[in-house]
Amino acid sequence: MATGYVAGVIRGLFDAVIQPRRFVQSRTDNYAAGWVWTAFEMNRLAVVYLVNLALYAVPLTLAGIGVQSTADAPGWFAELAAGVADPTQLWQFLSALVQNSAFLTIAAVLTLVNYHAAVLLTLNSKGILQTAHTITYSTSAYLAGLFSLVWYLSQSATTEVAAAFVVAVQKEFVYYFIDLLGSDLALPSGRADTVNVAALSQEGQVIIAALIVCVLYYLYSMYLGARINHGASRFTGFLVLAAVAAAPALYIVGTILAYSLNIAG
Amino acid sequence: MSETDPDSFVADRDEDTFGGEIVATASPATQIVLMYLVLTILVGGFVGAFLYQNPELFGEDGNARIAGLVVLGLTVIGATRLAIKYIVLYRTRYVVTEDSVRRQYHLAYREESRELPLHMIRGVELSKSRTQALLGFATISFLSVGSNRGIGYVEFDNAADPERLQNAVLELLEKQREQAVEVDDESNATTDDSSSRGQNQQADAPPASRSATDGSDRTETDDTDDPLAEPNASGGDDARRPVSGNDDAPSPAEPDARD
Repeated sequence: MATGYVAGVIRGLFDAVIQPRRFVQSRTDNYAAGWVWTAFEMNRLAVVYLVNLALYAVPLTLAGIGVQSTADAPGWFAELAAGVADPTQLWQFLSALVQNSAFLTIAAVLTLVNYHAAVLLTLNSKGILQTAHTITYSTSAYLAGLFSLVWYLSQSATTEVAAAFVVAVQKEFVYYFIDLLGSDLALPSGRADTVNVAALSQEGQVIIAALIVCVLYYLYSMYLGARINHGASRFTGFLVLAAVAAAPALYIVGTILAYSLNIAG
Repeated sequence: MSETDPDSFVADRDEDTFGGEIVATASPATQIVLMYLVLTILVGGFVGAFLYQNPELFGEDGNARIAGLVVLGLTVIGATRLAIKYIVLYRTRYVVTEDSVRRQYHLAYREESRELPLHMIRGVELSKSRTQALLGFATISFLSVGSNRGIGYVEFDNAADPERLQNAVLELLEKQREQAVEVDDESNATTDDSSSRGQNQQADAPPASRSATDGSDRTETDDTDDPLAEPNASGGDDARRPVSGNDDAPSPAEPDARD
């Protein structure tokens, strides 16, 4: 069974890189074959997502990359874990694991909402399960790869310039909308510092290139999902893609407006 | 233990499948994939290497070097994908037997076969893209009954000499149809014979015996005359089914194989 599972993971990785079409394609006949099959497939998708989430978050947390917790274990947990392992260490590991998983899960949920809204608005929806299938697979492969690379950048000593470059790009993106809306909102860490990209190490260059490839794959998988799983035309596929790509901008604009109008905080 | 070559694999596989005599075999054309592979390596490699070698092309920051790495990375992935496709196509065989059409490949001790019995074929579709038309290839789709969990179709992608394969299948379908009609006619003739014999017997029989026949003991003749009864329910239809196998009459949505 374990061999089969490992073979399945390797096959999945291979498909994700070499055959994204096959990777994203859903088994539409199962989804159309009544509520029992729909429930079965929903359950299967949930398992796929959780397993992939664990594959992403557990090694990340064990390697000390990503969010790390220093909190002490609460009393009830210490009692529960007594005799099994060191309660404090276990608590810190679990809380870091939950936080590391939360980033990917929030991103997946936001993408799912945007994606399905776009598919519905373009009158191409074949059901939420088709969307869930697309998002589950694309998120658990490409977005997880993207996050892992960003975490790695932030931890490695030889990629400091690359890490600073990635942070600067994100800050520039947020400040572009702040300036556009004329808001006086400021990020806690301030504006982006000038990064000397020419000083990027070879490793930093490769990781940034890999990040771009992951983003391209992620967008392509969304496009394929719309085309194959929802039967959208090329044009509609691009519209859905534009909606997903525009989502971060929409959330930033929404947040800026919320702060400017004193709706939030 | 060595890998069998694709042709002997075709012959070996035959016993495990529907078992009919092989009528035609063909290989998919690999030229198109090979052309794309060479094009990908040349164009991607050149653009990627050029960008990497000229880091200040997009400004003094050296962004072109990162762009070059992205292009080179995508080129490697694309070339790998095409190379795998080439190998799979090279090992793929399209087989038309007296009973079925199938595509199969055998690679690194892995076998994959997709087979459609002839009697399930409801339509044959031949399509050519511009490139395929230019190079003399086509894709033939053998369409089956359409249901959510149905077998769907078997496709011969980039088939070389597509008309030969299409004609072979159409001829087999026509032959099966003719055989079905012959069997149908024979069974009808048998039914007619027994019917007239039955009527003669009725005429010769005494009145009491005739009324018994008119009552509960219904003969095949009665079935044939009854408009609500299944046509040839016991004889003709069963005799036709194994040959034609068309459980449903072709509807307009499911074009006839001869179309």
